[in-house]
Amino acid sequence: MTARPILKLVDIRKSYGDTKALNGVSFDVDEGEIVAVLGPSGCGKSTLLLIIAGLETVDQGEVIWRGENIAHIPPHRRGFGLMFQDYVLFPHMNVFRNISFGLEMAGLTREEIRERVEESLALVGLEGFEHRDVASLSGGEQQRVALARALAPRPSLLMLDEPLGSVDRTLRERLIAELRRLLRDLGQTAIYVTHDQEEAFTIADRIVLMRSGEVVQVGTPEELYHNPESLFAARFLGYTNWVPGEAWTENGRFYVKTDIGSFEVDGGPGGRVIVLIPPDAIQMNGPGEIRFTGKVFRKVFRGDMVQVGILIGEQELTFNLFSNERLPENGERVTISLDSPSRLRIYPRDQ
Amino acid sequence: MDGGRASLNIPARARISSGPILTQFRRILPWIIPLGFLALFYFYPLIKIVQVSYTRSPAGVGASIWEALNSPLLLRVTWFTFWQASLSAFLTLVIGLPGAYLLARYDFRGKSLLQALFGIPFVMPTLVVAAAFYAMVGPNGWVNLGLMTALKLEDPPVVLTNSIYAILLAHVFYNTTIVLRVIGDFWSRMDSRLVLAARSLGASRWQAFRRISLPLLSPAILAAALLVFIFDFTSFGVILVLGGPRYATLEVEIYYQTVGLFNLPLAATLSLLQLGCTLALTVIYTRMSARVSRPISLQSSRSSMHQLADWRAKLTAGVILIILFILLTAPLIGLAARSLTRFELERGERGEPERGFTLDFYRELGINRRNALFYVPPTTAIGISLGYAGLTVLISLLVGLPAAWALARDRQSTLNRVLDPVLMLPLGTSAVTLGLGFIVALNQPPLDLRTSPLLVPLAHALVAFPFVVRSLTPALQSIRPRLRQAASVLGASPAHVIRRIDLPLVGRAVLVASTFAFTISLGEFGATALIARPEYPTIPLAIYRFISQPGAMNYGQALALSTILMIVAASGMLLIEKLRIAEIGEF
Repeated sequence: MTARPILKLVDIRKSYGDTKALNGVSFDVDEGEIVAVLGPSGCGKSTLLLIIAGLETVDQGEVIWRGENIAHIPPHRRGFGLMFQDYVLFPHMNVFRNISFGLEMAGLTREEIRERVEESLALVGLEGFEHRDVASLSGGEQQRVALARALAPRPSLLMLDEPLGSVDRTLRERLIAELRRLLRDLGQTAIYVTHDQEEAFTIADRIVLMRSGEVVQVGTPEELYHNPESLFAARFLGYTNWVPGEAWTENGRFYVKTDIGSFEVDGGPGGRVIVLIPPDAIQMNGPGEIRFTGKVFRKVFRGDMVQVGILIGEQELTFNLFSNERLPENGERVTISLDSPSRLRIYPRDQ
Repeated sequence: MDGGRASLNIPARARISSGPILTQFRRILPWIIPLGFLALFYFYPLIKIVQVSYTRSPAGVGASIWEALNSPLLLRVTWFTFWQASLSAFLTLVIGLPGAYLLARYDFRGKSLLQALFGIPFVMPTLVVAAAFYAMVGPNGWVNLGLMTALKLEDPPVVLTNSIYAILLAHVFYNTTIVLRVIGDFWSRMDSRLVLAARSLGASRWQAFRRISLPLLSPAILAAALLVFIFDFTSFGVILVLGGPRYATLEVEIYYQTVGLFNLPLAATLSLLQLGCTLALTVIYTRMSARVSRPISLQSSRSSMHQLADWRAKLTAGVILIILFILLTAPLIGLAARSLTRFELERGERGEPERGFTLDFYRELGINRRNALFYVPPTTAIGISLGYAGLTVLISLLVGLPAAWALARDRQSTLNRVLDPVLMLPLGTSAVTLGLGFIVALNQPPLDLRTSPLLVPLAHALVAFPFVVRSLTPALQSIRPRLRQAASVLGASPAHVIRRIDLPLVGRAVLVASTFAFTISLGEFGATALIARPEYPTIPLAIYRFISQPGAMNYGQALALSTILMIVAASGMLLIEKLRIAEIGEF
């Protein structure tokens, strides 16, 4: 079954004075899909959500919902849900009234409202919290009330703006997994905005990577991770093994020369380049033809895998090895082999 | 400090021996002058007022008040005081709320200038305001002149002076800035995303305002409304001059009873009634304003000022700002302009009046024309006012400096915490009551000051006293104890330390306090109206006289004198603002 795009953003542009917040953003969201908009702070992600919700105007571009341009529809009639960073719960209302607000606006009866609120609370695991004062809730509880409030009116699109920004790390990992499960169970179409790459990877069906108001790359988490198309994308995703080099074509074949060795690869940009070696692209005693020798300078145990820092030539590179393999000691000289030359990613150095 | 010296191995002779008694005495010493001042010129007169009120009905003050209230005339007066204050406060809120919203949420060019302009009415002397409204909506004011010329009428069609409308307008003029600041400030600290959250949940703009903004704003709205109510409740000059003989609040009635009917016991009773109401209102207000300073968003709100994006926003903002501008600055501009124009004939003149720009009224101020008994030329009044103002500055500083010094020194001591509000008491007491107190208390030896030139300055100093103390205390507080310790270790005696360290550092604050005292004295009307002798009027009294007398020349001179007073008051306040800002910048 192919899902059709239910939301299309076409060339959205927005400036505040001289600052260009959004500079031609376009992407689609399918019905039932969870799309993460990932990017560093200040790249325009939150502005995008406000625009989709109708709480901000566009300078140029269109927001198309179910095939129609919705620019003329005021925000309170769009039926979208928005969950804010810092939650923005109404301080003068208790949990029940916060959640029921959207339902009151929709004109539901008292009975319907009560049912729906209890349903929402159950969904987020906060049964019995109806009469609690919002100021007395913990951060995690506030977050869940904010989620329940946004979900209660059953919005056709749910937008979440860095909802886990102020939650601590361990809680965050648990919550993000719960959130994904919840959204999948509901079949909820959602846009999730974050600057945290791990959050985006956990929650999203597809990721839209943004930088300075522009879309840099769109793809599934796997596509993005294994195929970052730009130096920015690769850096943002957290890759750290960078080796400068020179690339040229000779006799129709493509070569790269670096401090740690020269290789033939399938293709890539010429001239000054920078080479990325993904941390999981090597093995200790593997069959790969390209080999490096170096000295282990660091070992960090991380549960099911070990991060091994190896000094190759003058480059300090970090690789991930499974901890059930035979692992080298600190200071040991080792030889590692690259799985295949196609794992190397080459980028122009002055991108 | 003394412990420090002992540990420095200094010979016993050089140590200042200060036993507990001396320290206590030193602690109390600076309080003697200010408390003495308040005792003599505030508490003693108040006690006398109670006593005089007693003489009215031996059954007691309570019975006296009750009896007074039962008189239909006074019942009407009390009722009028309440309802005009309520209506004024309500109108001020209605006018001020849109402006508060605009200032809280939006940024635009000229915003700080406008905010400063809107604050000017509040510091204007009452007679300036009264004259300004005469110049705008009086029988010879701009509105009527315009209408008469445009519609070719003989008589002025819209006369708002001597009516409730002028009173309401003047009150709104005075107090809108309170609404703008109190509510505007509070609103700007409210997380603007709360409204966005409501709208994303299906609320229209109006619903979001009613269900989210309004409830969250209610503490600030109530506090602002109450403050405005208190100011309108104790309003004197505006009601007296703009309302005319038909309208009297408690304050005005006290004045009439004292100066017109010499019925001191009744005046005293009314004063106590007034005092009781004001005290109750102030207590309620203090409770409320504590709630206003508590944060209302769960998280600290990021400051989020928007720009005026589309033409609709710009249009709405423009309309709001124009209305506020007209209401809050036009009267003063109109006053100045009207004082420079002549449109009608003087009594006894024939033919066509020379219309247009003229300096005649200002020139007339300098001319020594004696037309009636007890008539004093304006230049004399100006001289008297300046003299009084100078004396006020001296007295206020003499009394205020020790008080501020004592307050700054041990901030947390119980003595200070008890005495601090005591020092602020004159602020909460109406000037008319203060004046009445002087009349009933300072008329016998050893305090017979009835003919003393110090009488009026003392009253002015009493009114200015809280402001003087409030200006001086922060500056004195900011003198770091280390500086004084360093000086004293280097051999400076306590007197030396004061002269060479403290005084230069507070020079600027002294200037601010002096300007306060000077400006307040120049513009003071309530107390002065009761205690000034007719042959020694101040500028506000002279203006009052001119306005009360018919004739174009009197009218013009009233406006000219008011314009001068307005400029002086505005300059004074401007100077204070500049000095204050520079001071903050320094630290």
